[in-house]
Amino acid sequence: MLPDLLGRLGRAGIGFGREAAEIGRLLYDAARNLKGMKSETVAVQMVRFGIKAIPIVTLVNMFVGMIVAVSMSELLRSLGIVSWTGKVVGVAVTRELAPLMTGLVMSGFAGAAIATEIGTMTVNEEILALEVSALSPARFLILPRMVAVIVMMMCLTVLANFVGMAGGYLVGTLLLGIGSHNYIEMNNSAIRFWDLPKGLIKAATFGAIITIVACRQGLKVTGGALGVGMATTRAVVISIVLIIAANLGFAILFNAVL
Amino acid sequence: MAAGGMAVSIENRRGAKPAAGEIVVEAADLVKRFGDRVVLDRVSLAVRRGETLVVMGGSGCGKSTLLRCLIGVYRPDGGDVRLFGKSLPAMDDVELAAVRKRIGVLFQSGALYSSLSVGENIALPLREHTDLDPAIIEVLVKMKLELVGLREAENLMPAECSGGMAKRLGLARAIALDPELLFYDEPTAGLDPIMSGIIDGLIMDLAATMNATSIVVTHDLRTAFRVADRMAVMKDGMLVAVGTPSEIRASDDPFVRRFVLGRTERVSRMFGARDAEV
Repeated sequence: MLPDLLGRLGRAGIGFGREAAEIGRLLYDAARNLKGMKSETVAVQMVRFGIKAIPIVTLVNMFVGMIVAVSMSELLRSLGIVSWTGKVVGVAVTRELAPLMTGLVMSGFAGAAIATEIGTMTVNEEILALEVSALSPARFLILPRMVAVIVMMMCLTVLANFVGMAGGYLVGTLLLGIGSHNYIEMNNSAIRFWDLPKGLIKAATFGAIITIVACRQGLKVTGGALGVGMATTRAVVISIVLIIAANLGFAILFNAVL
Repeated sequence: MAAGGMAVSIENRRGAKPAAGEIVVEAADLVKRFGDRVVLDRVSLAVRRGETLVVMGGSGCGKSTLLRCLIGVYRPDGGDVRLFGKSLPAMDDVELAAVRKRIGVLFQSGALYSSLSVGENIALPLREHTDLDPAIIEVLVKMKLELVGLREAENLMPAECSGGMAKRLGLARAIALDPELLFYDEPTAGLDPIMSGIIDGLIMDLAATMNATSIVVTHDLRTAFRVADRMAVMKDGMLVAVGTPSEIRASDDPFVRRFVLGRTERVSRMFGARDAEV
């Protein structure tokens, strides 16, 4: 029983180590090619994974801001401080929810698309064709997508901050009867100087997680269309778990340091 | 030979080349395993400059694995692969990239980059591996397309190309850098006889005009006998016969006889003796 368990743990550890080494190699290859990166290729990916994600990111984050405002209002009203709704929404959105929700949306929007695209290229031997032509897939495929998703994650997180707080504002002023000036004042008082940079650091990390997981899953596809579908599912699920875990790590770190 | 009459009707048009010149590709006791399964079992072969070697065998015999070992995609578990006199497994990334610039590979599906137009597919290795002026690259792209008879396809996207076109365009991309060594993975699989004949013609023309060394992996006997200077027959991960097309036809090995002669009879029965004279 114990030797069997140890054996399984050992194999899982070796598998994890190999995967980490492969991801490390991809990142190293991508970083090595940073100098020769073509800006027009990155721009194309920024439009695909950033500009086109604006409507969904806006919608989701506005709803999240509204949900926070509605769900907290009862408690705040019972404490006689319903005007604090703006403060609560401001804290929740800027410190946690804007980068987190944007990351989760992007893991489906960009991560799934990248894993499917690269997985299909793997099945069609396009990746192999790049490799045997001495052209690095890290340079041509991974780097432009990673830079584009990281940059756009940061931009979308800034947008998510605004629309999340706007959602809370709409609920606070229209449903809860808080005065507009009062709400904005409370909201602004909750936001600290470091909140935006912290959110951007998180957004960049989440963007890197989404891209590297999706690329890695796409590159190791086997088994045709079924394999591509499984890789896409794995990419999204692993990204979501890693983003939430990373968010927890950041929360602990930022609380301790800043 | 009982089936000799039929077999003899499939003739190699290139004629045998003298076995001389520098060895460009060499596999020595090559072993490749996937888990416990031995896919290549002590495979040894050598291909000289300008020669066309056809590797034949049934599905799952290890011929595609052999090709992937020869182009450095799979690392051998035993033995050695030498390209242009240098050991492939011993190369670092820079050396491997340098060798890969000297080779061209035609994949079974063509493997055109789906996000690039046909012209961009061919231009990519030229842009990345040479210092040529964009205007010259544009001319070279047109020349490569002309060579495969598809000059009008330059602005098409790969999704707009048929299977036969994709293979010819894949070939145009494979020869973009004028490689000394060309690998073909099932070049005629899934193509009609007319398109197969066109691809066979291209393989022979490229070998002749570029003096390229070629390794063709196929199970298509018509293609094999048409383009080969020498042939290698694989079974269960091992080479069971290597020789000129005439030597392979005359082989006493039961598997080779069944594989080559049996299939030849079938081809002849299906298409008639005149069609079999490819």
